[in-house]
Amino acid sequence: MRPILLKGHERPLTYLKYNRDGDLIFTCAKDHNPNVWYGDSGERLGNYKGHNGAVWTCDVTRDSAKLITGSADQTAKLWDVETGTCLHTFEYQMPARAVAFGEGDKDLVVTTDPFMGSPSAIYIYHLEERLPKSSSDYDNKLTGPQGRTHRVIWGPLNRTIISGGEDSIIRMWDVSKGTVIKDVDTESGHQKAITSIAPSADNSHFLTGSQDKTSKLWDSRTLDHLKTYVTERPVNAVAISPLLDHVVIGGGQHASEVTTTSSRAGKFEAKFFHKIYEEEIGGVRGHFGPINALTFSPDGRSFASGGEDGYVRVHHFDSDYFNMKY
Amino acid sequence: DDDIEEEDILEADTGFGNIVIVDNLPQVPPEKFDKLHGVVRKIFGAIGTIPENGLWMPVDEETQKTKGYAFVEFTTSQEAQTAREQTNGYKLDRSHVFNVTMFDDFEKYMKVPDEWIPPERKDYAPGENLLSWLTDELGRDQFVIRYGSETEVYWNDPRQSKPDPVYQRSFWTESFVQWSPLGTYMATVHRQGAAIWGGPSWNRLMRFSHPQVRLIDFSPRERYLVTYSSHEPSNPRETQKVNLNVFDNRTGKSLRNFNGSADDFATGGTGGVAGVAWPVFRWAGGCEDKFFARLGKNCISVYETETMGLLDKKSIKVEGVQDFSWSPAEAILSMFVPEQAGGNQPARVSLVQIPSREELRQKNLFSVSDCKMYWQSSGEYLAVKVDRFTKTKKSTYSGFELFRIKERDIPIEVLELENKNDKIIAFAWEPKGHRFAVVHGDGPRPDVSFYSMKNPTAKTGKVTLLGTLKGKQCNALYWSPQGRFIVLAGLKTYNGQLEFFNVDDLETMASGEHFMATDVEWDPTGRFVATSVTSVHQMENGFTIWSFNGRQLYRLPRDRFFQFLWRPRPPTLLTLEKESDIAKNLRNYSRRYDEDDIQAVGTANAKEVERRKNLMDDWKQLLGHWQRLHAEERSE
Amino acid sequence: QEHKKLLARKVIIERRKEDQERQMLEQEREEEKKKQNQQRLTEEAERLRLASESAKRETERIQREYEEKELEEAKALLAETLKAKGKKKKLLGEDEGKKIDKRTVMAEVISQQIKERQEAERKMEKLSKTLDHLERAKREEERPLLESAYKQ
Repeated sequence: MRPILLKGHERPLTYLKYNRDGDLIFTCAKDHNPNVWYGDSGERLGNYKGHNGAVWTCDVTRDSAKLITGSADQTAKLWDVETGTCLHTFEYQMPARAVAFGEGDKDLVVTTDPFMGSPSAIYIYHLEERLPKSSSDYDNKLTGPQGRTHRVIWGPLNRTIISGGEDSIIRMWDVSKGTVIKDVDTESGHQKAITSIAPSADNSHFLTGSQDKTSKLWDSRTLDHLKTYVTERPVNAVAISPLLDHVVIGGGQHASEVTTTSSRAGKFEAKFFHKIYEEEIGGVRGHFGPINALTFSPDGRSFASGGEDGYVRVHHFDSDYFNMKY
Repeated sequence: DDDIEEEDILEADTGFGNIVIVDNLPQVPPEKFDKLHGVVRKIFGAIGTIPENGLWMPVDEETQKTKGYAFVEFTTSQEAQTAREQTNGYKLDRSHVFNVTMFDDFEKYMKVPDEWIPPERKDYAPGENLLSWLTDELGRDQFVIRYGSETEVYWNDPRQSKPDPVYQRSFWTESFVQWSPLGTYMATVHRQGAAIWGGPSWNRLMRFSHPQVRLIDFSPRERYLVTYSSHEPSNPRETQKVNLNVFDNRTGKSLRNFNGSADDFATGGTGGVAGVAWPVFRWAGGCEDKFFARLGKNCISVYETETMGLLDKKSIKVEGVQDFSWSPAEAILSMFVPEQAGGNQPARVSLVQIPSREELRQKNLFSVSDCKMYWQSSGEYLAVKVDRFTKTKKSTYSGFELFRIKERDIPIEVLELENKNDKIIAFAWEPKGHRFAVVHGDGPRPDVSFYSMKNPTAKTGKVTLLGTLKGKQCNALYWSPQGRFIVLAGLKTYNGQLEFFNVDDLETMASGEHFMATDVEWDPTGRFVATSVTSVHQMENGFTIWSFNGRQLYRLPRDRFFQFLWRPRPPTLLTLEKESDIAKNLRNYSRRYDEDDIQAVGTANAKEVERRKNLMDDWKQLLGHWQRLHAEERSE
Repeated sequence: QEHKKLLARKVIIERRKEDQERQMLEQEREEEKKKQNQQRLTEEAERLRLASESAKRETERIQREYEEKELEEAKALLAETLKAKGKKKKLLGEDEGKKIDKRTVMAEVISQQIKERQEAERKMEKLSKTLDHLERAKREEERPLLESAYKQ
């Protein structure tokens, strides 16, 4: 399984996203320009110029027409995927972090970091007819979580959203009421900051990754805990295979906290677990730094990882993978 | 849980924490009362402040004599605690050795039912079979791990490639656990003292009261337990105090207490070195826990357990002695004395027999900077690594003096490495064997050499180089307890490189890596090796089990991993004849074991298939349920 | 007149003769030249042919020697592997006087190495079993001793 290396970012990767068809992959990094590539060949199609800070996350509409990006430059931007022109800028007084389109691409959620005394917030927009005129022109604003909200995903039928971040608490929000329906605190959930949330293809369950070195699987309707995957390193990125009962988990200590990074060159590993048996089934090494982003292609035949080392590695699984006894 | 309740009582504040009871005082008539009162007050007043009416010596109404004990009250419980530690075992005179307890502890003892229960009851009552773990049908071995707040005992089950749980408990110990040398007991350490556990239900077998105990050590035959604590002085001008107790494992009684300033117990004639080398007391091997010894200033103090006193009531005077060690097989002491009198007296290593104190052998050594002694496990050989100054005195080089203890007149042979500038990075004797391994070199990739004390061609013993492996990422050596196999490990800067080596054939069986490994330990039978990464590192915590030939069997990641310890085994009860009988007829056993194993693996596989099937069924049900509800919700 | 005529005719004949002779000579010369040319060409061709043949022979020789050397090496390697195992075995096909090439020898070496590896693995497996079974047998025999010791 020889990976395709996508070399285009000069800074650590932050987020990866395949489009619905799986032919395009969008990559975000701490440099300011998200890129788009052909998933198969690794050829770069272009980039989205306009942000003025690290880009933390992105999402793309089902028809691959529009891209939303959240950036530390205190904006989220809506782009025309094909032309690369910025269609709209959501402006905030604090860095934007997580972005996600709801099912049907009419709903959008954006989270902002705490900044200069204002707490973190989650903004919800219904884009059906219009684009917001100003930053205060949102449909709902949710507050409460302490610290940054690293990730947010939509629950089934866009009735809920699920958020996680620095306060280690997983929250399920009622979108229309703006209230927390249920949460999982450190007692029964993660002990440390949640760094990543990834939904299953049918959105029936979702996976969280935490700096407590575990990753956990949850029911997206009830928030019941389903499974736990234990690793030896803080988890930065997680993904659920849409094809097999596998999950992939990646991470590592932040470069500044690790003295042995150089001696461990090329050995940062994306670990595969069996989703149902909770057993580790393999690993893919190659990054020269912690893994910050992971995603499966929509057909589950390849996966991509983005590292602190500035590289994106696209792995197409070979037949061995599909013939595994699991 | 009973134990926890008991400990709660112990911790409960009765308000009498500042009172100690002093037992074993002389019983004196009224005319001597004031004198004794004064003496006791003086002794205890030196430790803390005693209020005006803080010393009470009860008097027997009939005889008018004191009852032989006293209550001493201090202003603080800390003072009382210190007083107990410092004066328990205090010799007022030959026949009056203080037995000092905390009033709170005494109260606890008073709650013990009235009828007298022999303290040795553990021995005689039909308690659990403490050796039952040796009779495992599958011939497996146990180990204990500690991570987070958990302590867990497992069977190593290589056939299932996973550990099989035996017993587990949260907050079992407050700092560490330790097996006794023959594996009978597992010791835990608490604020109040140490405790030992064992038997099939892991009951507490004994408790040893020693507040703030920090270190413990068993005698080789498990009869005694030595406990150690150190205490910051109450007065900053004083030095740190240390306190040691020697307990009888079966009765739980403290047989002897030692205390003093840390300086007195810091080994090495130099003194003033911070910290005490552990164990302070070292036990003689091969003589049923008869002798233990410690290094003093210009002397070695040998104690005998029979009287718990100094052997022949006096220490062995050795001017300037810096280190000593016992033969693991008999009561022979080896000691190292550095240069004396400004170089007029050369350094020397000598062997002294106990209890005769006869010097068996002595070797003078010149321009020595340091010596380190390594005994072979059956006491046949002693290797002394000698670091000498070069002529310019600017650097040192190393060589070995090899003593053949069992041969007539104890011949000594000198071994120098081919390259004199090589640093000795590690040395290890083959257990029960005649070979040793040395890691040496002065570059980043040292060499590993193997030597034998026997020469296959010559009749007389001559140390022989068997072979050298060049440029290895190795800085630690771990011989199999059965000899023959060795793990060449590259820990720390080498990131956990492992080479499983067969010394008979001078052949590498396998190479492996346990990234960041901090510890390597062979199981007591030499069939398996455990490597672990403990919490000195933040990541990769957990352990890996390997076969003796370097096949990785299984891994168990555990965050905040502190300890992995194989349970030691006592020597076999089989006679040598029986053992060779078994070896001869091994084929018969083998046939049966092979069958058993195939069946066991089959059963385990079937179980595993079943387990997975259940998990998968549950999952599908869950998903189906979800989808039904989702469809309903969608159509709403 | 007659004489004159005769004389003149003689002269003519003479001239014609001369002409003819000259022509013949020229023709001869021409042919000689042609022949020489032809020969030169042939010689050149021959020289070239020889040169190319010798070059070909040379490369063939090198090739052959190279193969021989490899064969020797392979043989030595095989011999060494065999020797290392303390076995005396004739090389494949050597008895029958068949031509052995490098490929067969290499195949032999590789199969030898595989065999060796398998043998080493078998040996290791056996050793591993022996160690385990010995320990288990000892414990099995020790078990009644431990139990009776406890009952006492």
